[in-house]
Amino acid sequence: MSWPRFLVKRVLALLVVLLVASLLVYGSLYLAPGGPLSFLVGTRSATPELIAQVTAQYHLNDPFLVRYFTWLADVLHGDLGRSLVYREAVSSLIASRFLTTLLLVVYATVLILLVGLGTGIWAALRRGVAGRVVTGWNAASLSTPAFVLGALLIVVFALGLGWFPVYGSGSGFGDRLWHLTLPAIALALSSAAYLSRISSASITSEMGKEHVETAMSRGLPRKLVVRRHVLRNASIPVITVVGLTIAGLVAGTVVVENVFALDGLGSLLVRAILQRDYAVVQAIVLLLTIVFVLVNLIVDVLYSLVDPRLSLDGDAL
Amino acid sequence: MTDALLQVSDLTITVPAGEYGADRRPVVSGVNLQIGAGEALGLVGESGSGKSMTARAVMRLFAPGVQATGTVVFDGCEVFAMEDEQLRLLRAHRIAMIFQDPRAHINPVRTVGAFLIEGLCASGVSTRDAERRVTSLLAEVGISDGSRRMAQLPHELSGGLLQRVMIASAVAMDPDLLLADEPTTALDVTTQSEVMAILAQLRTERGLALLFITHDLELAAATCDSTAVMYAGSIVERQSSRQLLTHPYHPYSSGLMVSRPDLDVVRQRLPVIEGQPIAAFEAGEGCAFAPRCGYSQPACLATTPALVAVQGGEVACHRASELQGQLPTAMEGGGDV
Amino acid sequence: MSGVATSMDQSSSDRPPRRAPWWRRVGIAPLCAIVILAVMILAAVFAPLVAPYNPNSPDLLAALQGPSAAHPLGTDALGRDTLSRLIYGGRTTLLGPIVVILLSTVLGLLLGVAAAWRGGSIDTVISRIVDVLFSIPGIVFALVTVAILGAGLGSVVIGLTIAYTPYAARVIRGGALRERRMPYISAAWIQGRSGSTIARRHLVPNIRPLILAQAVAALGFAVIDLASMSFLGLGVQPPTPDWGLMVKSGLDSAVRGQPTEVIVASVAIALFVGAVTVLGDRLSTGVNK
Ligand SMILES: Nc1ncnc2c1ncn2[C@@H]1O[C@H](COP(=O)(O)OP(=O)(O)OP(=O)(O)O)[C@@H](O)[C@H]1O
Ligand code: SF4
Ligand SMILES: [Mg+2]
Repeated sequence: MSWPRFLVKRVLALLVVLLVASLLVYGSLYLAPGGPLSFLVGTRSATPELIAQVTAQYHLNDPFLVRYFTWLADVLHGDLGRSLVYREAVSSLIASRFLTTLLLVVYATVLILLVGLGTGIWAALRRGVAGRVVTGWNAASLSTPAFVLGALLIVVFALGLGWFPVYGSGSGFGDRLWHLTLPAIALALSSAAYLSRISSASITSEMGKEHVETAMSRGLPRKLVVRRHVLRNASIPVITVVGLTIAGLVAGTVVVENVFALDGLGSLLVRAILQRDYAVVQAIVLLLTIVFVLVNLIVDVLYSLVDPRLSLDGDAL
Repeated sequence: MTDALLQVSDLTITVPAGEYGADRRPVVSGVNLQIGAGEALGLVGESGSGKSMTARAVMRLFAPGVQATGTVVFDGCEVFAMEDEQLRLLRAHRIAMIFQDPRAHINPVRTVGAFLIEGLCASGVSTRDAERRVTSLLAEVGISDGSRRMAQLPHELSGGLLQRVMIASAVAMDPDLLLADEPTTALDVTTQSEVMAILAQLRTERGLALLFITHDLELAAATCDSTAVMYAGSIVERQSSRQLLTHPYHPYSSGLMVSRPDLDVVRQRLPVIEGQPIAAFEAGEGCAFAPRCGYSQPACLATTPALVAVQGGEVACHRASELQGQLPTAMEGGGDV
Repeated sequence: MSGVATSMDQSSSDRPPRRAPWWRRVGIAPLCAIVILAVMILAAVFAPLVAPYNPNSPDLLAALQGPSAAHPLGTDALGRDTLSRLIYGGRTTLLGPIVVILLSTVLGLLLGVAAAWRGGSIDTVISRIVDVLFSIPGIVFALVTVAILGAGLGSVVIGLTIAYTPYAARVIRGGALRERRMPYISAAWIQGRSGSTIARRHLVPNIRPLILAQAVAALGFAVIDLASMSFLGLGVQPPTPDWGLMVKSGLDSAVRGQPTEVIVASVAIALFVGAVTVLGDRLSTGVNK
């Protein structure tokens, strides 16, 4: 299969997933006890204007599929509806909070790559005590959920030692980074441990491969063998894990932003769920899914670039 | 004796016995070998007898956890006592190894060309010169469309072609000694003989010394000046190849010859040595081959036979002198072992 | 370079190899894990007998205390005994994930075996559905369910069951496909047994270790996800004691100067997840052997 066809196939698969996800998000409204209207209005006083607004926004008078496609068309035009709580367009609500979440995810990704790959490579190449220390550290990190770690970080480094602010996102770039440090660590640690485990296992197994023995038998400098034959080949499975991890981070922000009271998409989502602000819930959940699926697509493409043996015919959905 | 290119003395190799504890088990014990410049020595034995371990010991190429004692002297230098850098240069320039399974032993995600020129480039040859040299080497090993092949990935080449690539890469650095660990076992019969012919030709043209490892005693004898037979981590017989074929001293050597499937003659019955081969650590007191030996006597179980000089070679069998001339050989066809 | 065995090991190498004692074969870490899990689960089951106080009785005069003889793990912001809340909290914290895993394993078993056993279009349809479900982050199911049904343990359990079923289905389908090629299955066919009988009587018992290993591995994640949802205020609702909620209320107490509750609850969650992970790893190495 050629590259264009491969990409077209993968993008089509992606669209199917998004369609299903949007149907799920939209359709679930009809599973609400009492029907969509009473669900959407919820405990708010059912003024005629509110009912009219909700009915119009969700096209409640049309048949289901028509309603769904009208909604979908609106979404595709960037019209995500209006928040019943904030009385504001959902798109502008999201836009104002997007940066915090993006920064958090990028910060955490950098930490994951540095710590995860660093300790993984170190443990695999050193073995012995280093290997055991890293193994223990990874096991402990993997057992600690992000919100638990976040709470402990606040207790120790913010409340106890006073090195970091307790809550909030800060203002200005440097200050923001400062505020985001503990959240990023909380978000990154268990993923870093997972990456460390996978990369260390991958390197160890690659070190034992016959072709590495050949390279050693030819008197190549060890550093060259490690870089060219071990790390390069071991990176193939690691790329998948990095991708899945980053995709998972997007969901992880929901929890971490709430621990540290950051004004990102995650805390907006939780508040919207609690306040039955369904337009906001739909929009953020769709966004999460889009990012998740996109990252997975990028990983697939990278994967076929790094491993030249991989034929593009592989059914990788 | 001392001026041999390679002199292996009293080589013993142990591996960790289990996951826990510090127990170690031998897989090679007390092996002595020597190869003169330009000479070829065959090393024959069944699976697990320690042939590959012995060959790897020559360039100190051990997996983690494997330990060796004894000495390996190559061209006057003690290999086990070398500094890492000295050892690296030895591997890069003086000794090269060809492995049994070229598909596993060549990095699958790099091109054939990258594999071939890698050694030359690491020792300072420019990429263009290296490419020119390996292209002509590929022609020597029977690959005429070298430049096309070099752009391909290993999985696009057949096993026979890959083994030629492996051979070309091994001789690219002009080594003095070639270690060939079952270079033809993974290949089909026709390709086997082609590869053997290429090896023989390169050897005579370049004056290469060769340690040739195989399961096939007659192939070893046909290729090499002398042949050593290994069983359970020890050498049980060594003779000049010609004499070994006609006058084996050890029942095991004789058994290996008789059990060889002969392609030219269709035999009624294919005799094999009954029983399973054992590894060095499984051998107890007495002759390790005794449980499978048709000539064993109570005395064989009492003490382990030492390798002693006999006319034209060495053998480790209590009954060698009695049995001499009575053991069946390939020429005579099947017999009881 | 020479290998010198230590004198301690010498004695054992003389004797013929012996089967290692059972605790050696299970491994030290998995044994510790079993003990930790047993203590936590028993304490939760027999909470009324074990807990020193009523977990919900406030004592505002004794609020925000550190460890003492009367309250070994201190008290929370309302003066409730942290140890008692920890013991009772095990009930929701552990029961929720166990229900999620039971439900998703049963559903996954049905889907996985049906796909592997029937093959053809049924397999294609099931596999496609599983693929699509995989492409949506698991927490999304939980969030959407809570958004629709309202916050509560039940909503979260439903949402996470949907999220965990595809994992179970994929693993079990793989195991069932491998097993289907085994000779004993064809032997049973030849004997004229019906397909569902073979699946029930032969196939499922044979992949039971695989199912168990996958369930235990997923349990660790389920504990994390459920506790996270409770922490967010979307799962278990106060005043019910729950470890995830205790981290939340403990964090507020810590801001007010008393970190005992948040530390205790954090350690409990990490210990439980760690123990489950160790056990899951041990079970899956058993499967791969
Ligand atoms: N890294 C290792 N750790 C432990 N044991 C090993 C290791 N490598 C080899 N062995 C054992 O050492 C013994 C000798 O192995 P070796 O590879 O030298 O045999 P061989 O004669 O080359 O056999 P074959 O014909 O199968 O290649 C075998 O019993 C093998 O199981
Ligand atoms: S020593 Fe005895 S058992 Fe061993 S090979 Fe010679 S005859 Fe056979
Ligand atoms: Mg071998």
